[in-house]
Amino acid sequence: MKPVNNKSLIAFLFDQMDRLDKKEIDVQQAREQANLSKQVNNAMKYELDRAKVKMEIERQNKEFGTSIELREIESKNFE
Amino acid sequence: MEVIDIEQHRLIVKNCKELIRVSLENDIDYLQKIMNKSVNVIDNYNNKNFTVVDVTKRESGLWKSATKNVIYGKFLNPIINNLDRCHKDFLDEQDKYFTKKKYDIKQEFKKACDDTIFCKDLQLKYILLNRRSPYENKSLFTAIKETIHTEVLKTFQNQNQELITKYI
Repeated sequence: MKPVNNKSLIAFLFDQMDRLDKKEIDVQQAREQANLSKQVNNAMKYELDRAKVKMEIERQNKEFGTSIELREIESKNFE
Repeated sequence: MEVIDIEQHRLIVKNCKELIRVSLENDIDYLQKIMNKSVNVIDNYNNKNFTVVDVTKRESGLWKSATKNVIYGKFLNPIINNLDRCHKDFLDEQDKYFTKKKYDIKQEFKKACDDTIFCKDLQLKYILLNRRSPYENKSLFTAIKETIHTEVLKTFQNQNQELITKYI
């Protein structure tokens, strides 16, 4: 599986734009690629929010001596 | 295309613009032709390499304000909205306090935005995107913009963890 980060996603999308300009792909294909990448971006946003919540919980625990934990919603790690 | 050639073309464009300002009317067309040749070379290089070698001051400014808008929308505005909600429950004597508090928080975020180091390539991609018409490939255009916004938020969040959790 190829690792994907925002940089590679942006490069991929610019490439699709280029291919659309050269008529190597059509508008429908470009639209579908864009929609798929939006879903990937949503997953990244979710990770960002999750990281923010973890930071807030850590601060809360340090400041008030609490031991709140962020519940893992997946029963198995992504391996 | 060598980088040194591009640099030469950039200098040609810059100097031609200056010359056109002060040249005789008869010479303007000729200078324009020379300039346009270099502009085309630069544009082709930019598009081929997905980069921008001739960033203008205006474009740099647009990038800065775009990053601020994205960051303020995600992190600052919720804090200010919360303060406003508390504010309306208090008497007028507290008005000065809340106004000053909001001002201080805004200044803190403004400074944090200015101090955050964004990847240069990200800025160039943003500028390159804005040079293209959004109506040709609207869905791709929007997808790229949203991905850039996410990267801006991620960078700010990583470099300003303390600020982000300060006002929870």
